[in-house]
Amino acid sequence: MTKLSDALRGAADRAPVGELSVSTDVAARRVTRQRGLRGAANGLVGIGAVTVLAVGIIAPTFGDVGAEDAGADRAQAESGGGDGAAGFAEDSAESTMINSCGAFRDVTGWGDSTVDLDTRIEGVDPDAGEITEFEGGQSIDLDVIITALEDVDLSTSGPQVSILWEGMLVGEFLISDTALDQAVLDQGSDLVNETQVSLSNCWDGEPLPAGTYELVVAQHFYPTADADSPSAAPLPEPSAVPGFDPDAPVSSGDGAVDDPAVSGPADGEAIEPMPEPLPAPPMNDFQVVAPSVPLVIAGDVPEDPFGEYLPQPVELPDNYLTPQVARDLYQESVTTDAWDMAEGTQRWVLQSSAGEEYTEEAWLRGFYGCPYDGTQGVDFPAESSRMDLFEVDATIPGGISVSYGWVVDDNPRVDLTVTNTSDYALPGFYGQPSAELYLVRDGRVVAEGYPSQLRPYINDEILAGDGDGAIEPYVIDLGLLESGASLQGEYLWRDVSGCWSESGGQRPLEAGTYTLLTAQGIYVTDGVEYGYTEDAEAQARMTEDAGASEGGMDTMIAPAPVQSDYVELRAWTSLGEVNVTTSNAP
Amino acid sequence: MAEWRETMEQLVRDRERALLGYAYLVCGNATQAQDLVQDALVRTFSRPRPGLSAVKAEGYVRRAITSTYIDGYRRDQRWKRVQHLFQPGEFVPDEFGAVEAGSDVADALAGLPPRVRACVVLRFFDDLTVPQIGRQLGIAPGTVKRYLSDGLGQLELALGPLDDADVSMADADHTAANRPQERNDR
Repeated sequence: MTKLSDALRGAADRAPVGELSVSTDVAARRVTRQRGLRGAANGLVGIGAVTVLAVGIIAPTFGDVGAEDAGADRAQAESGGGDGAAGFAEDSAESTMINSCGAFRDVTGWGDSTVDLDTRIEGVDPDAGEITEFEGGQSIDLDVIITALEDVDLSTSGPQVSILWEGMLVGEFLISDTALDQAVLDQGSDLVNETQVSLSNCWDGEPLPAGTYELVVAQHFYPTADADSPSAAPLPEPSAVPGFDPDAPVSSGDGAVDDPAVSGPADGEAIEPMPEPLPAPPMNDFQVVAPSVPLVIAGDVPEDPFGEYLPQPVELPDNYLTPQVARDLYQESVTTDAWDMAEGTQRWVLQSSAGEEYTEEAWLRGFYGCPYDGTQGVDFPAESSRMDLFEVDATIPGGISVSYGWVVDDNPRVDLTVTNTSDYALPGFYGQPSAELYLVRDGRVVAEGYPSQLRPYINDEILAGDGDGAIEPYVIDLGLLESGASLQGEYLWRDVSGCWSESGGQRPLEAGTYTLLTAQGIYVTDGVEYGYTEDAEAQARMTEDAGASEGGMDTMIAPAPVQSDYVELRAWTSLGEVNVTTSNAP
Repeated sequence: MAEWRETMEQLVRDRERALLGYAYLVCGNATQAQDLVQDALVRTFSRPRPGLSAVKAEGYVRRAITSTYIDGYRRDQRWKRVQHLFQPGEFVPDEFGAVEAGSDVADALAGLPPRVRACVVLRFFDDLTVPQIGRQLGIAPGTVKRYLSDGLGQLELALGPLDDADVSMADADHTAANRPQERNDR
């Protein structure tokens, strides 16, 4: 009998990743950017009523170069070396993929701030009411002023300057200096970072085109570590894994035999349940945001100044099935009439939809199948729809012989074909139809079967038809099943799994005649393309505040923009009856 | 070199293979595993964690691998749209051979939906409890149970009866009343 935990650890050992490696340089650049630990070193002057701490030229983040690397790269570039130029181009290309340019960022503060933050652009008098125009690519002098609301001893990773165009991040700068990583201030005193910011975009460093922008500065502070301070409480340890001793020496890198994290307990040894993670330490850090400053760059404003940098929207066909259309179609044919499960009939069940309030029991509304705990059978959902999007044709055996859950006396062939009978292009059809078989008696599922694919990767096997109902190709890039097109799969029915009962464990399948159903899920989105922003500190805080990160990770990457609409549906089709004979004798 | 960077480099130097293997287990794709590990490193080291050693960091990185994987699945469907590009396209001549190959645990895992797969890995590789898995993935405990049940059911179809399914499932849920009965009566 297979032990799953051991099998998984063995699979991890055997994973075909021998040729892969992880670039710590790339990771370090991204981390550096997150931490804001990049920039030229500047001297510490002191702390007073007004203290000038730093003067530095802040470069855009498109290089994402670590503090140590930055100097080297700059030196190379300044010396005119070809390597430096090549490195710059490489970094720029990389950041296009991983930085947050183009994200719609809502820069917000969080936590209990003990300082105020303000910004001042040299030459701009905020009280004068006059518009000061700048040139694209110009460096502007920027003061970032920290004012202590009480006596503070804080560490900081430096101010982060964002330039927004109509809410979209187009310039991003990280002002950092390890000499500035502390802010020890008396109540009411100020600390000033004098910096320069280049008015360049964060994709490739080109000058920002003419237009009106918004400059926003945010800064993250956390209490300086102090043994007596609550913030010095140990961070929660990561949850241990069986046999994983954090103090044990690590292996030399092959991660196999001596890998403490992948060594399971010995056979027969009980698996210790995991202790609850330690509670998260008190979070005394905070982020404060300075009032935004309007920024005008002179010149003729281009029509679409950043269009070339933005991902093109997914090109959807005119007949693409949108979530709203899917919902409408569902509602047009919705019914509470019981389904008789006659051969060839079909019912659709709404599984989930955007905007629905999440509850722990919500999934039960659309659930049909074997219940997990076997406490009760589940009837077919009370509400379903007779909508017509696709039909499912199947070639199934008239009968199967089952022994201890295995289909014996030959593994019968099951062929499934899904044909789009609607006028819409249906998204999400990849490879083959889903081969889920459900044996139903008295309206309730009593066993499930998942036939094995004969050809797991059938994408290249979709053949162009020559008319007369032949299988048509489907659009592979979006997983679209075009109107009238079909998707076919071939399977072997090898086993069948009885549902659980509350008292008797998994029920053996009894001989007799069952109604055979198959189910196909469809997940319809509005085709919104997604992008990542790596900021998301606010979201990370929200996650932590909700206690969702106990002993785990902070969410540091958030999507932008968020998905706007979706609906998840499941089509149940009756394939008729199947006769089951059983033979549980060895 | 900054302390965090030394820690990260030591972690990668010593545990790169193990982390990639774990990520592969989670996602079932070598290329995606590579990205997951890197994203997880960024997540782990982006936040100041004074005194974080390479050994301790590994736990954080493992957690980040699963959350990154699920976040990616939950928040965008880009991977799904291009997944077929990473699957071998050649035709498998031995039809029954393909079925047999699917009996391996990695292949069996590949047949599980992403969230189900993540739940199975967290439960049976990392030995987390249902509540812990729920917190890790940001889903309800009931959903975790359903995913585990579905996942085990499908894995058993491919691998046969699983020795530790009963014990682990019972341990996974601290509510004794909900424990399924022994399921070795197949």
